[in-house]
Amino acid sequence: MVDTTTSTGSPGSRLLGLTTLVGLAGLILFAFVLTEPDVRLHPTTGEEFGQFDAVRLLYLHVPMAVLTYVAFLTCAVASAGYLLKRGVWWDVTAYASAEVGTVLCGLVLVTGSIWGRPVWNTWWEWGDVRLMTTLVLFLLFSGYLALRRTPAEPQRQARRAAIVALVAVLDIPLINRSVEWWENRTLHQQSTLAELKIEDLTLFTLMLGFVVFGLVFAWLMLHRFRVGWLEHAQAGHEVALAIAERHAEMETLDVDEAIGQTGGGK
Amino acid sequence: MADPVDEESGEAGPLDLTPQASRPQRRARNPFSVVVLLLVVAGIVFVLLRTLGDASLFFYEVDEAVSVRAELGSERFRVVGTPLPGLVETRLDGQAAVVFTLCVADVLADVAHLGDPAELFQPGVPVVLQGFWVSGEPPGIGSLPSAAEDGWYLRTDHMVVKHDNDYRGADAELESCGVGS
Amino acid sequence: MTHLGYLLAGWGITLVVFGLYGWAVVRRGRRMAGSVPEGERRWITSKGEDHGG
Repeated sequence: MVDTTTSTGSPGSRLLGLTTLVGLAGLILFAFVLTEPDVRLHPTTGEEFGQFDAVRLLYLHVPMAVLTYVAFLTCAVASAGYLLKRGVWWDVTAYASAEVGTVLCGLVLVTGSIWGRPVWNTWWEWGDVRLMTTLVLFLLFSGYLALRRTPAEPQRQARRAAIVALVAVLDIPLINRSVEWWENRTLHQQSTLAELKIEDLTLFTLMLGFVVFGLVFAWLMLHRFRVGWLEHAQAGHEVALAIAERHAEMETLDVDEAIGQTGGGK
Repeated sequence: MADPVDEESGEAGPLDLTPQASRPQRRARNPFSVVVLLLVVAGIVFVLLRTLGDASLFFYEVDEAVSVRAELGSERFRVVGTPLPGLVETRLDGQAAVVFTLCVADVLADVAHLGDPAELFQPGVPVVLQGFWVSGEPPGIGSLPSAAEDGWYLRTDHMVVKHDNDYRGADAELESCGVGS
Repeated sequence: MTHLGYLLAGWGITLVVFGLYGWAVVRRGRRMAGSVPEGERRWITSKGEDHGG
């Protein structure tokens, strides 16, 4: 067992981690064993058609896409909070959610590409508006993370990053509405859930995917937030140590000076 | 709960040392981060240029593609439509090809697609093809049950399947089109 | 099962990336936690007690 005092873990976060692992095992069971592949019989030809087993990739791709929105919207809200209140909590939350969101966004692009090869017959389609806007979102937040690693005065860096996040997040409505606004410029289907064209175990497994990947997101956010908090605390601690050292030096100098003056007066 | 770094605090006694701690950092530049930042900017520019360039390959529904056939000439474009039942495997200019008919509502267009069709290609499941109009009739067109046979066909070489949003198994509906739809 | 390679690749990459990223974050936290005074670790208010999650 990890000592609580030397890690970002706590009994609560360990319980969350354990629940997440159990949830992931359950999701895999439903996604691979208990649900049927997407197979339909053609009314005219009688042949089987559909996505077959490739549909099992959607149980992770769709929840991760939605959680990418959640992560980047959290980043935007926290960035706005930082610009208004200038508190460290807002800045650490913004940075943590941007990093977790970028990991999620990268996985959304990769798993979407893997799903697209058998179902669409292509790994990538440059003309697809949703793919393009999602790739731009990933690049914008990769830029955000690179900006945060560029050395600068902390408050200035946090302010710049907050502005970038607030601009980057404007891409999310474009991604989300692209299938309606540019119906003939995307291979993506329109919303299945909004039109309720999903039912039974398929629907349940997709919902379970939202819950389980939500837990993964919460666990990652919790630990990443604590790392960010430690970074700030460490920076503050180092400055405090430096100040204390300089004070000690000055006091020594004062004493030496005093001794010197006393000695000079003799 | 107190912030670990008190931004407002000026508690430095007779010495204000905070600027000294940050000055060297401001001058420093992490080359890795700067390179990543430049790569990201270059990536965004590339994606935008690529997308804008690709946008010239406009998506037309079959009925639109038929109505603007004269203006399109031999220009390459994307066409979206639903394949009708019936597929002929043949050869075109020495290459393997498949011939079938696309539709939107009651408008039909014959297609000669070079190469294999997509793995999940099925009648009733819309496809997006890339190619251009050719005057004439593709080989094997007479074997199709409901071909357009209007003296033109689409010669395409890129096919992707536009999957629908229906996951209801037996209750799922298919796109219906063709004469009498 | 159809498309098994794609399924293994999609699920495998996702689980491996989450695992590696989670491990990297926890490791960063362990390294940093030791160098920060106990009172400044947000989720701990006093030794042995836990008020976080």
